[in-house]
Amino acid sequence: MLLSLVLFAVGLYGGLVMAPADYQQGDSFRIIYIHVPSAWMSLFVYMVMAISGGIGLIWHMKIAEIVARSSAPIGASFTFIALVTGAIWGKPMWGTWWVWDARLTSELILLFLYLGFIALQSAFEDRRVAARAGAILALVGIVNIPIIHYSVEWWNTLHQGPTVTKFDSPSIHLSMLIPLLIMSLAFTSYYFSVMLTRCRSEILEYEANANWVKELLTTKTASI
Amino acid sequence: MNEFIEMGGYGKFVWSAYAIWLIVMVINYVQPMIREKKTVNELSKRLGLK
Amino acid sequence: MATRFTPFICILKRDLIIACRNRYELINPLLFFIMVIVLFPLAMGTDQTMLRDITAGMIWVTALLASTLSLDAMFRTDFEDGSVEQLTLSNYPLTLLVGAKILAHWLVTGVPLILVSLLVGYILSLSYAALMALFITLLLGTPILSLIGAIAVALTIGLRGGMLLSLLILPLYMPVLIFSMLAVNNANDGLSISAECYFLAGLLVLAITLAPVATAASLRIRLS
Repeated sequence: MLLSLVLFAVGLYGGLVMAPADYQQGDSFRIIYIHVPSAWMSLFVYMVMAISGGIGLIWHMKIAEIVARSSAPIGASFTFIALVTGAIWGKPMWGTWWVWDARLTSELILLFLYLGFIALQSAFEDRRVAARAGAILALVGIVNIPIIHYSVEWWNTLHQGPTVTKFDSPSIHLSMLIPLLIMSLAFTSYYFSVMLTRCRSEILEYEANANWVKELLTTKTASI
Repeated sequence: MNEFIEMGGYGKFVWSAYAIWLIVMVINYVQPMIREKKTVNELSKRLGLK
Repeated sequence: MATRFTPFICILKRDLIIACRNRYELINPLLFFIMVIVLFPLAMGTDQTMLRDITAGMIWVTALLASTLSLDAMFRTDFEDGSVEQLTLSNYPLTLLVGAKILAHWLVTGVPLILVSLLVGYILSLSYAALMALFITLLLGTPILSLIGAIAVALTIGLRGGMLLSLLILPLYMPVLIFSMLAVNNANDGLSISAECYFLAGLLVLAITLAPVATAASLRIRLS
């Protein structure tokens, strides 16, 4: 967590203070430093979720199931951030909060997939069953994500012509790019630290009756 | 400093985006910690340690 | 002469006979379909040109909703009386048996839906080309809906609340809807629709190969 805090601090400083204003979009482009990393992470987390779900399904590894389960809310919140900041960015740039842009739409569908996963998880009493059912759903989703992405892109470009392409210029200036990369590193480390915290409490609930939990708690309370 | 807050007229948008981001990130971080504390408390109660 | 397809045919026959005896279950989705179609002009006014523009989309969205609502029936009664459990215990590959159930479901709900859609499209004066495109896309698309839906039904079977089912599958249905509407719009403009049809056919093949496996796995998880 410390690492991600440091990275966040550096990335934010670089992004908000050091980087020059964009010649077209002015200072509003600074939203990019949270918008783009969270959009990247939203996909990355879904992949982690599906892969660890698959591992749990095949080898019956409990820890993989827990990782998948703990990742879902974090991924959903990254998706949410990407959508909301995208809308806020869109308001001054495009004039409206929402355009039926291909990327925005597929991100929205991704949010639906996350929410479906979470809803399915919470519908079961038995955690093992929930984890394995969720894993199947995540795998189905991962097969579908590229299909959804390309279908949406196609739909949009054929339907109303290309809207705003964000990175039209071939390369983004280095002083803008470096904070962006640092921010995405920060997002990644943030994700892992939050995911591990979630896993820890999941495991404690999971193994509430195990002996090691008893010992752990005894030593903990004794030391206080 | 003022210039920094105004963001060339886009301050409203930039800062609201960052605010929402910060809120979501903090909630995400704090919520599992609270939950863990709760479970630990409950379990120790159940084990008769408290 | 018992081949490995004998049980497939047996289950297909059984499900079809059950469906024929329960005539109202057959008719209800169709009634729902027609009623929702009626809702659109009531909500949007009777402007002829505007209605003609949205007719195809209206038919597709309504068909999608109708098939979503009828999905629940695929396994519910069999799950309640325990015959799904019998299926999982049988010697034959569950994937094949599940495939038979999905096929039966499509024959019972998908095919009538296609016929009624064509009738409605004709009455609402769709052009001949658009009607043909509608027919082809529905023919290729509704089996995909049944196949993907089967996975979600198997996952949510026996759980409370039909909302969860719709939450899970609607995002997965979106590519089908997109391609179908592209095809219909192209046909309306006098363009070729083969690209979209190939895509839909590809999705159908993908769904036929993967969905029964995933459905069988979900059923096993639910019954374990």
